[in-house]
Amino acid sequence: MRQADEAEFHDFVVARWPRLVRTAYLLTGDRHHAEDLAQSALTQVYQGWGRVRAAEHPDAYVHRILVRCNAGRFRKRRVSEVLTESPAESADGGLPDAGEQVEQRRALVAALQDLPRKQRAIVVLRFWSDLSERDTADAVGCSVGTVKSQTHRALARLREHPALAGAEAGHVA
Amino acid sequence: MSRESGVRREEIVIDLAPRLAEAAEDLEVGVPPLPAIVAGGRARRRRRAAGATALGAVTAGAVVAVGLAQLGGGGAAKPAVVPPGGVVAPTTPVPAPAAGPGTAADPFRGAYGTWDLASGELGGATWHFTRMIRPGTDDATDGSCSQYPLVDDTYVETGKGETARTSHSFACAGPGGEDPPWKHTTQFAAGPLAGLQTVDLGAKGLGKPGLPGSMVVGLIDETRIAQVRMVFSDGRPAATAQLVKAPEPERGTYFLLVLPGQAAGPIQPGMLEFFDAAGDQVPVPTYH
Repeated sequence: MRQADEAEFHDFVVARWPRLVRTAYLLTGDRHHAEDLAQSALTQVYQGWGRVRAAEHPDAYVHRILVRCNAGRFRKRRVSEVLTESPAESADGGLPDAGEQVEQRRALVAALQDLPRKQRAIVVLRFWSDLSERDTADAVGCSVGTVKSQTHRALARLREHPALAGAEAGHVA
Repeated sequence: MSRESGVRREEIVIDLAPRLAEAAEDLEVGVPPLPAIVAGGRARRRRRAAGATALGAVTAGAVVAVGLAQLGGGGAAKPAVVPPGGVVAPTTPVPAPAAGPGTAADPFRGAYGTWDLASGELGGATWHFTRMIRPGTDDATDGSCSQYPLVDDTYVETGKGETARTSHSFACAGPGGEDPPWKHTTQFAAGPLAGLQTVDLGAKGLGKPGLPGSMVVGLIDETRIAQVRMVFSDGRPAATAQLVKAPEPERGTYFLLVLPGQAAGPIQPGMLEFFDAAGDQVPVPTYH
């Protein structure tokens, strides 16, 4: 890669890294997996940097890589993970927080992990990454209709999830 | 769906985005591991290139056969001359028949072919430095070659029929493209040139340790550069590279340096020195 391209890639990584890791965190439910996933995705971005920088929506392209890396992660491992009682480390130092809001956020992340992988990806891309239905469909590799139907099902499952059962109406559950 | 459940879902939709944002932003994110990302990306490119090499080896094998036949029958290629120290002597380029005129979509179409640029002997085996231009593949859309429908492969072949590709980044220059004075220098293990940092190129089904040496190859702007030297920090004397004019459509001159013995490691900035015709050193940017 030419030096100018490399410098551009570096800037891209620095700018996108926090957002990408957080997206990966919502997809995986684990900060370490999230960092690994984001790093894997950006490695692929480096490999195809010419295509990414020329893309009409580079971020959508990167999200597609991220989602597919996450799918590959599960395919390779062939072992499903079970979330532990321990929450991911957080900005408050990783210690359990008795605050109701913090508990609700953790419950939401846990509930996301109980969604099927595609539904989870659709929810994260639509409501966190703020992708359009079309870009979400491209990233996940399905039709816009599937995005709509899976969104509907995912929201229904979140609403019924035991971890969110105590939340107030109008919130997630 | 009841009215109640419909309202409920709308509330969820409205509220989910900020809730997800809050959950995500609970996570403290450190600095990106840029060196690891770049190293991983480069490794992926190398693996991909090695995969393409396996495909190209079939074609390259045919080139070897032709080259050997020419050597045996007194054809255009000249026998190798091996000066002391293993510095190469170029043979006469043998352009292949043009495939036809270039087009706007494929400006190099008329330039596809194979050239035997140099050959030599090392460790008792003959090697050939052969440059190929062929229609681009998906590899060419990566990185800096994205705008050119061209893959330029440079192979090193030996009399044992083993081949390794150095890089497909040589021929990024073209009409309207950026044109640095030299584009790429790579130290590569021609399949049988063992012990180099990029030996994995040869290890992907092509390389077998055979020749005790290494080759450095690059492309420089012939209008400015008249001499290329490689200097070493371990006390070895500097080696002067052999210059070989690049076939059209490329401009410039390849420099080739064959070094006997095990490679000391990757080329570091400052190891290559460039001089103009007056003997003045010319600063040249490097691309890896």
